[in-house]
Amino acid sequence: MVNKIEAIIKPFKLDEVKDALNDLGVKGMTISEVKGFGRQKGHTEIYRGAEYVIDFLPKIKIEVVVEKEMVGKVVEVIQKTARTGKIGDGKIFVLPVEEIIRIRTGERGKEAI
Amino acid sequence: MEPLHKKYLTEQRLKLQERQARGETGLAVAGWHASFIDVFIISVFNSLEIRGQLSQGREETECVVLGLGGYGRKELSPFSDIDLLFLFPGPIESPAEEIIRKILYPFWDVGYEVGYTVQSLDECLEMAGSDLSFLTALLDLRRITGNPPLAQTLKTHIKALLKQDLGRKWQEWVIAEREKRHLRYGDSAFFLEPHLKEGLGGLRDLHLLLWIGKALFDAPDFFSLEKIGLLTWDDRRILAAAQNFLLRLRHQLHYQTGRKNDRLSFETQETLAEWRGVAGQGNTLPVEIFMREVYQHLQNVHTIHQNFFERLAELQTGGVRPRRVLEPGLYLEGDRLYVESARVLIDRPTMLMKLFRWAAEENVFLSQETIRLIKQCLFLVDESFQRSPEVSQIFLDLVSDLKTSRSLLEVLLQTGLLTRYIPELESIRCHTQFDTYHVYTVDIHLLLTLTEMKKIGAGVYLKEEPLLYGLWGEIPDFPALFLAALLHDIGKGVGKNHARQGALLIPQIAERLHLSAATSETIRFLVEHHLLLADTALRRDLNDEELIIRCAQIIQDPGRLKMLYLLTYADSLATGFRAWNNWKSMLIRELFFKLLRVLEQGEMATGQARETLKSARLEILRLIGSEMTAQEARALLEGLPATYLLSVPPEKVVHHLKLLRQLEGSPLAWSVKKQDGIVELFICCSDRPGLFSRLTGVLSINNINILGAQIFTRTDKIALDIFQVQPPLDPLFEEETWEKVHDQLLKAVQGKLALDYRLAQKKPSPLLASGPGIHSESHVVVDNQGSDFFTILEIFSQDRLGLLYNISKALFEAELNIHFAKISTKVDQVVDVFYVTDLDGQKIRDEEQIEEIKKAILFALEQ
Repeated sequence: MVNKIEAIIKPFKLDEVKDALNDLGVKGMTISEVKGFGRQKGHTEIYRGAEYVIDFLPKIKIEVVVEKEMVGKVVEVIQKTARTGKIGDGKIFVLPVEEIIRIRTGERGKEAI
Repeated sequence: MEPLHKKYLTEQRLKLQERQARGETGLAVAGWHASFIDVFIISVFNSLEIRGQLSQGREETECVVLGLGGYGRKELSPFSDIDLLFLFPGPIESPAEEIIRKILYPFWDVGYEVGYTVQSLDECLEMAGSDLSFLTALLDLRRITGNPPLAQTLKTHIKALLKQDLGRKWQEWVIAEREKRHLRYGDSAFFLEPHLKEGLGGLRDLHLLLWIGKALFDAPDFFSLEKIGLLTWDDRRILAAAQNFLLRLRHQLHYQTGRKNDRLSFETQETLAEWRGVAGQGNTLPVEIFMREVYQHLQNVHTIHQNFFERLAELQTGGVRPRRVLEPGLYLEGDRLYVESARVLIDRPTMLMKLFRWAAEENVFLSQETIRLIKQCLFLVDESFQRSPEVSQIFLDLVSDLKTSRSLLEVLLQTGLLTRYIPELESIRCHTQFDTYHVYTVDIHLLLTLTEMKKIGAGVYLKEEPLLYGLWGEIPDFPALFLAALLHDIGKGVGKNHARQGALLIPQIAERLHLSAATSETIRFLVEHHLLLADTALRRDLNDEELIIRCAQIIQDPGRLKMLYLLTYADSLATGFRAWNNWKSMLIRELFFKLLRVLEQGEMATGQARETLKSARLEILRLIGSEMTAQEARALLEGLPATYLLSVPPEKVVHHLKLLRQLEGSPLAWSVKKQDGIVELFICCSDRPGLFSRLTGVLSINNINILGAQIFTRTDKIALDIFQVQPPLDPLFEEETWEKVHDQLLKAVQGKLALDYRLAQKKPSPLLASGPGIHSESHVVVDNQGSDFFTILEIFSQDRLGLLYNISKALFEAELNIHFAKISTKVDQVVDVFYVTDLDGQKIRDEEQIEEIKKAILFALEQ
């Protein structure tokens, strides 16, 4: 049984979270630069007459795939490291994974993690 | 029959690989490959069976098998395609196609990609006249087997076609295609993962020269091109070497990846460097040395390619072109700049730099002759040249002029003039940066940064980033900006921390260039901190006010901030699209605005503020002396906000810090100090929403009038409060009063005191009733612009006991957190300034919520 964990975090927390996950033994991860908002609001900057509407805020999305046994620890580690206590810290989602295949070798399941 | 032929191909391919492994030249291996394909086609085609079927016995209707493209040129890499044309004299009989397909099966079996066309002579000529890329393919045609006269006929017809207008059309088309290709495969010869075929200086650029030769001059190889003067002897040798090198590399690339692949990706660069047996040198990796060799060849081909087209233009316009004299010794012919002779430069060395400025102003190219002359006259760049004010002025004009094109700057670099003039650039010449982040090598990167900066100034990015163009008009020092762009990575060849290393080199360069002290310092600052904005925006918490303040203190000046912002942008654009995107630009813009506001408000980030902070810290450490270890003292100093250090005198800070130490294990630490009839209370405790209201509540219960207060919160969420109060009403039992207050404070912060009840119970002392003075109106001002991190509330009201408690309670009930506050009283007027956030730590942006807060406070003031 394998789960995918998706976390949306503040950009400057990336290195910390990555290191913490590496320490846990999580080998691979996917990072994307994303934009979003939740309850943290954006706003409008005006400079010399030009308006900059900031409605979507830059965030980082981390995706990792781990065995079910690891999920609890991984979630805990991400939450602790990514937290600043201020609004906009982000969210963690845990999703079920139906199948994994390694493209190069065709391995499936656990071996493909 | 068939299995044998397939076996032949397979065997020959193995032998081909052996040849490559043995070290045969690129051209030899490529030619040998074509040869065995020839043998195969000839033997299959000439089998009686096939011949009979195809020609049906009539020689006149026999077809000719022609090789086109790379195969025609005998330049076949291991996984290249094979292009064939089966040409018939007249209309084609139907089984011909099927038969041909059968002949080609073995190729497909072995894995070749064969492209073939079956046409009659008429069809072919018609297509050649209308499809210019087909015509180009025909230029490389080579008869493999079959009807020789037919092949000759085709050649003759094509020649005739090209002598007409079609030749000119073709030339225009082929040059336009080249422009498109060059644009697509990198607008610099130094793409970090070069495409050996389509990139600048790649094999296609070589082929193009041969095509021109074949199409327009009957000169089918480099030798004949040399004969007609389109190539020099040197050019030809260099081209041959480049062709062999690139081909051999390409063959190996094909073998390594097992398919048709002409792109030197990072991975293949490493493996190919290993294959070539390149050794590292000092700090330089083998792969970097290997790539330098690759670039050298690419650059050579590129330069010769340019020279070739210049000569072609001269040849074709023939006759005399109008000459325009720019100044004695310098003239223009068409769009090329010429120097009369070396004498001109030797007599007036300044001309070396001046002719570049001319080229920029007139928007022309330097002729190849001029470029050669410059290279030969570099010895003229001696110390007096480097220190000449005249040259410096010309150089600055050149660097600052928006019209100066990138290609002109590249010539400045490639002739060697730039590195002679600024020798500090020498160590970064052609230094490849082996990481995926930088697409261009360092010296080209610097030129590109300068070019991007000019593009910003010219408004090229007006649509994507209007802010850039808006800032352009506010730049205080343009020469500094442009020079910083040109020199910002100058420290890269020196060692670690290139920003700092580069900054160290600036003063000596500025001195030679006779720049003002201010400009020199600005450039030095920009070079040293050119990574500051990007690093901070991407790696730090932009919601941390202290961080912003510290960053602003490094920058110190809005003008420098704006220049730094432009430099960051230009640098990233020039690093290659991978380093820059809209996501990153959002973060950097956010940082920019926050820094700008701190710098424009002027308090926190001025040089004076910086000095004050520095001396304050030193003074504090001195006053602490041996009472704490240096480590402990520094740790305590760490969390103090800048506002605190700037407002509170060092002696009081020390006092507070000693209290802080005592805080371990206790919910509150305080001390009482009497001075000049006023009592100062120093309080340290853990911050929590509502803390301030509890403290003021306790003071109110005990009839202690608050004259002033300064509230600060440390980064570790400890509140540092200083109250200035009037001494208790009863001077006889002051000690006891303070003990009681202390006791109640302890209870209050732990929530063990029913403040409201106590306050309601209390009757105000007649001694404190406010006199019949002027009853002024209270009002509340909300300032949401003054800080990026807090909403600022300014409350004006008449003083009375318990006022502060009411206000702070109202703030608490409005779910606001007080981060910093300043309370002061003048006679009986109170001015309270609170810096607040909501419980999530954010400014209040909601208009309605702000109105509600105002109402709540005004209500509290009426109580």
